[in-house]
Amino acid sequence: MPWNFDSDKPIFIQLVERLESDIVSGKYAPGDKLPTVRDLAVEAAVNPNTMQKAYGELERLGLVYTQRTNGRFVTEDAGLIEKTRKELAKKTAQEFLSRMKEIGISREEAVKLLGGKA
Amino acid sequence: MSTILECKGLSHSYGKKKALDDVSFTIGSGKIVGLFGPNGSGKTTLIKILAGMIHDENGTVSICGNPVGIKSKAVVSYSPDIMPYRNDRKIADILESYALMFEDFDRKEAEEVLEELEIHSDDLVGKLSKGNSEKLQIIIAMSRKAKLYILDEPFSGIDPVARENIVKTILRMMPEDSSLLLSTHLIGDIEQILDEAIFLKDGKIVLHKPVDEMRDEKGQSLSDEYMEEFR
Amino acid sequence: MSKLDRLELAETRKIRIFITGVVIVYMLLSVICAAVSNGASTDTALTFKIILLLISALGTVVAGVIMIKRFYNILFTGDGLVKFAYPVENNAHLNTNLRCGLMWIFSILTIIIAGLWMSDVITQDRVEDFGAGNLFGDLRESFQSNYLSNPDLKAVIAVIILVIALIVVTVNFYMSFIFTLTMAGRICGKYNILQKNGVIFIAGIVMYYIHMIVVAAMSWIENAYSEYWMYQGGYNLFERDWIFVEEIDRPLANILVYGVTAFIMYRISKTILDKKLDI
Repeated sequence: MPWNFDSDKPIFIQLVERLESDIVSGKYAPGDKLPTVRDLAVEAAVNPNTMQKAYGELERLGLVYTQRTNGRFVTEDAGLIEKTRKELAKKTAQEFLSRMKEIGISREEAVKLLGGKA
Repeated sequence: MSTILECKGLSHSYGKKKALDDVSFTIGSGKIVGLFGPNGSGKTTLIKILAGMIHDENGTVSICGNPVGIKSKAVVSYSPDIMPYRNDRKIADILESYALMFEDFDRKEAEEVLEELEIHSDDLVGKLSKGNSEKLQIIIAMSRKAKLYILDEPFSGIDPVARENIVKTILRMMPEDSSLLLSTHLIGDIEQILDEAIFLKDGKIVLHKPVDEMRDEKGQSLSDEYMEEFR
Repeated sequence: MSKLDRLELAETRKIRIFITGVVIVYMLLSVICAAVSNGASTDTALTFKIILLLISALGTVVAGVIMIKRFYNILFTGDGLVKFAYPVENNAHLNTNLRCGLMWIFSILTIIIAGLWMSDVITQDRVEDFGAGNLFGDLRESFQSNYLSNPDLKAVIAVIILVIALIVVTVNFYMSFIFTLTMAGRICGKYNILQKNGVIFIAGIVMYYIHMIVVAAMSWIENAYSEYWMYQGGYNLFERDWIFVEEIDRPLANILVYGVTAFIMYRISKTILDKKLDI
């Protein structure tokens, strides 16, 4: 998946979101070693300092941990990953709903559109 | 964080016309800084002073603690806004002369990266397309392991797809603690690699701040900000 | 030799090929000259010599033009953007160009003189009109026939002074071109003039007239001076040695005037490159 960025949000936040979703989706499995800041920055064509900041944020959230010499790894705490997944899902759903609201579709109609029961 | 470049009160005039007017700024180590402004705003003049192509004693420049001179030139890798190599020169000869003159020039790396882009050492400069000659220029500049890279309009002739690759090449070739100052009018393509942006207008700095700050404060991208400033 | 010198010599190696070519032609033609003149056909030998002289004169001009063009490239084309980024003093580019340019020019001049001398030897002095090697002999003969003391030593001194004068005048001419380019570059940089070749052209014309004035002034001063000495006491003072003095005074004056002006032009060019560079 190519790296695309919105113009109105700080790149660093977009990087964090992208990496979070890569972790919860299993692209980086629990315990996997993550690419170095530099490699990933080159891949995404972003500033290495920004990538560093994004990794820092993931560390703060506990999704990533550093082993002094070996590099960075995805957490093995399945509970935390699950929790993050739910948060992301909730956030995405909220974004969906607020977009629907913008174009004049009520919550019930939106849910109906998704094929669920209102 | 240490300072790589510090300018104070730089001014330069052509006859009576002021090209630069009291420009002061600093660039910290490891920073990627974009220099933006319309044509004639003084970008190239500023860059040429930093690279030692224009000698001006109005104001001071300090690059890793040294004024512009032999010591600064040993740590500054400069790529001008025009193709500086004559058409009848062979690429291998250019690499040879850089290897001789610059101790920090990594000839092997230059050859490898050029080969990846299918630019061969025994080609003549005149045979390269406009895009490839700009790539050659950038790769030669990035093959030095310098403290400060100064690229003046590096991508104007490179198509958008290749541009992303060349941006990646720059990021890959740059040492971690080094800084990069680049001027371009193609803001959108390099926005995401910048730490800071400097806007020049009529020889004066009208804005200098971290790019993320702009997005945080106003929720607008650098391109939006640029349009707002120079419309 | 600095790194820059090595680079410059490597990049101008084509001139070396030219010089090698000239040397080979010289050797071949000298042999032919010798063979021909054995049959006492001196006209043919003379023709060969004139051709050689022309080829060699052309050689110095070509080498000079190539090296001056290289300096032009540094100041007025992208070349400068590469070369002034090298970690060396700006004036190193001036020094390197002067060293290499003069080296090429004098190598070719040396070959001309050596070649002429060689063919003089081979043709056993039967061709006298173009005999550079005869200079010493002629002077010595003249000094001897006028009963000067130490004619050999004086002839040697006179030849050395003449050679130095030739070198100084050549250096001055080369420096004049470099100086003209540097001044034109300074004017273009200061006022951001884009019609650079126009400025160079005008600077060249100005420089040409300055040269003409210097030459005219020199010959006027020389005339006034020799008249003064001739009638006021030069001959009395130096007696028979007056002939020797007359042989070396003009070259000495040339060395002084052309030497000093070349040095001034060098200093100004150096200052412009170091303190006022704008390319």
